Amino acid sequence: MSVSKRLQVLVPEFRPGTVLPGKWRGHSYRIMRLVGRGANGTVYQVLRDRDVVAIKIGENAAAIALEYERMRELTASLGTAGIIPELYDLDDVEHGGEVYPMLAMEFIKGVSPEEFIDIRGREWIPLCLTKLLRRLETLHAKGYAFCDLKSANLLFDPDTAEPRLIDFGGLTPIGQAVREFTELYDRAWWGRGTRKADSHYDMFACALLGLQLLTPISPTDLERLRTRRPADRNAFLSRRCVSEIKDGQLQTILNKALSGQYREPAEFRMELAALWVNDREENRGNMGGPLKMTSGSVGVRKRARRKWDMTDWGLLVAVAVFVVTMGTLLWFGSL
Amino acid sequence: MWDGVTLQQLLLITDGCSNAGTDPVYVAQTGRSKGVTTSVIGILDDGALGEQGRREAENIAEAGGGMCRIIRIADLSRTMQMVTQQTMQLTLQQVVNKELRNLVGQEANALPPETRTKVAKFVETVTEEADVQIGLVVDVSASMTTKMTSVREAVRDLELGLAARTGSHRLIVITYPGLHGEDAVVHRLEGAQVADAIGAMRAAGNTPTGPALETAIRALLESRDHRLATREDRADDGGEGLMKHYVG
Repeated sequence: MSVSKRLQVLVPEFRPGTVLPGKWRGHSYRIMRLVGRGANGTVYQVLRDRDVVAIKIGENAAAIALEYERMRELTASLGTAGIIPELYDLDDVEHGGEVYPMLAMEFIKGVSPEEFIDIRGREWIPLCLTKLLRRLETLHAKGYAFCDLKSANLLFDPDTAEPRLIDFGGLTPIGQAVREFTELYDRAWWGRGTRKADSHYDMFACALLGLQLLTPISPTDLERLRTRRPADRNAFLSRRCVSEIKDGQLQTILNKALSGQYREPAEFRMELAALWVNDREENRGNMGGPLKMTSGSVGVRKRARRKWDMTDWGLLVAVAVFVVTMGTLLWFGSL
Repeated sequence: MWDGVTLQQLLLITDGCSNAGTDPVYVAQTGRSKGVTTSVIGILDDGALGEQGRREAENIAEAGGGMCRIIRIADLSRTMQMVTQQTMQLTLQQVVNKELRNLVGQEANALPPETRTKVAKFVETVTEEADVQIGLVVDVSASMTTKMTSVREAVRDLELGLAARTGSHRLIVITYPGLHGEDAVVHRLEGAQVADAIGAMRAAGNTPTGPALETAIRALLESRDHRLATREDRADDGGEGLMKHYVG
């Protein structure tokens, strides 16, 4: 049957410079680079006529169409408002005699959550989670859960600390089964609830992201947990929350969210926000208030944390040589 | 016609090639004509899959109207979810496509994108609400021994995913070869315990994939007949039973 074959057609990787003509809209897309792979397809940064946009090319036309439709409906009721990437086209592109379904959307710039925390420091984790939760709550109010929340589906603006969700392939109406998830962030995998889409499902993933930013679970541990029962994974997570995290207050809050002690995400968010404010007041003397921090001061922090490289060592050696030479000359002079 | 749709599929998990009994490709074909879709997951890690096994896996899936994925054991859980989900969609999409061909002379993928989204949304809703019966056919021959804990947890995980759906589900585990020389064993465990059917089995001997698939198809059809019988007893769904129960 044609359909079963079509699902099996693997989409080739397109090289930079390849031009993919659209079939229905009259646009063509010039590949700039591969951005990443999601469950529904591969994302590229492309030139659409003269604009830089992102396209997602998949092998399953229905999945791409559905992702587009869900995003379109949400945009219609929310506006773009920085929550959903701006949508351009749902189209098919042609290459080498094959037709691949794709959707074109806003290309979002930013850094990964890990990079963001690396630049700004761990004290920013509560703020990042607060901002993220606020966005998720907006989706929940419209009857959807994001579901596949994970580090790879999130970018932060390095200057404003605004988070952007980038892959809406997992977006699911609340009450239905979660379709796309990643074990590490999945409540059911950890033996801590069902795999039904609801606001708590997203809250769990959000708390786990916080945990990962504090102290990531090692790949070896994850590998080992894969062959264990959910009850064992649950116990592992409990032990970890008690023993590994050193940041007392944040630990308590994350632990509460992971064990379902908040009635709603907003409650989790308020406690995180309170933590952030306290933290800021304590540190006001030496940090000048993180909220007002500009990109310039980020640079200062970054330099302060930078590791020594070859140039630094070179300079040190040069100074040492200079001092020794001058010393020797002086010594000769005094003879 | 879309209320109470029952989808039946087999998912074969193997790391080798069949070497005894009926040709599994033929069995998959037969199953398909009875409305049972067959998909295959081939596992790469230190198994005997090879080029031959890979080709057989693809042929079984092709004949069975399902999907084929060749993966590493670490990806098993994710792949099982994906394959069952997409096979359901695929089966429904085929029915919809048949209708579309009759109505407008085109399949969904050839429709303009805006129309396609409507079809996709419809298929998605039915996928969530359909009743589904899945037979997991698990190769437990010697080379699979080290992978059994992973398989067991992947099955448990699949059950969690199915339990979250609106529609009902039934998961049957069929392991092969049997411990006492039989071709395959049907395990009668239900719900969260279904994964425990996959224990520390040390099966030796042949890899009778074809006969195992036959056993699995029979087990699925029995439970369908059972369902039909109970439905008829209740006599609550008029005369359009055929379409409902033989989708695909």
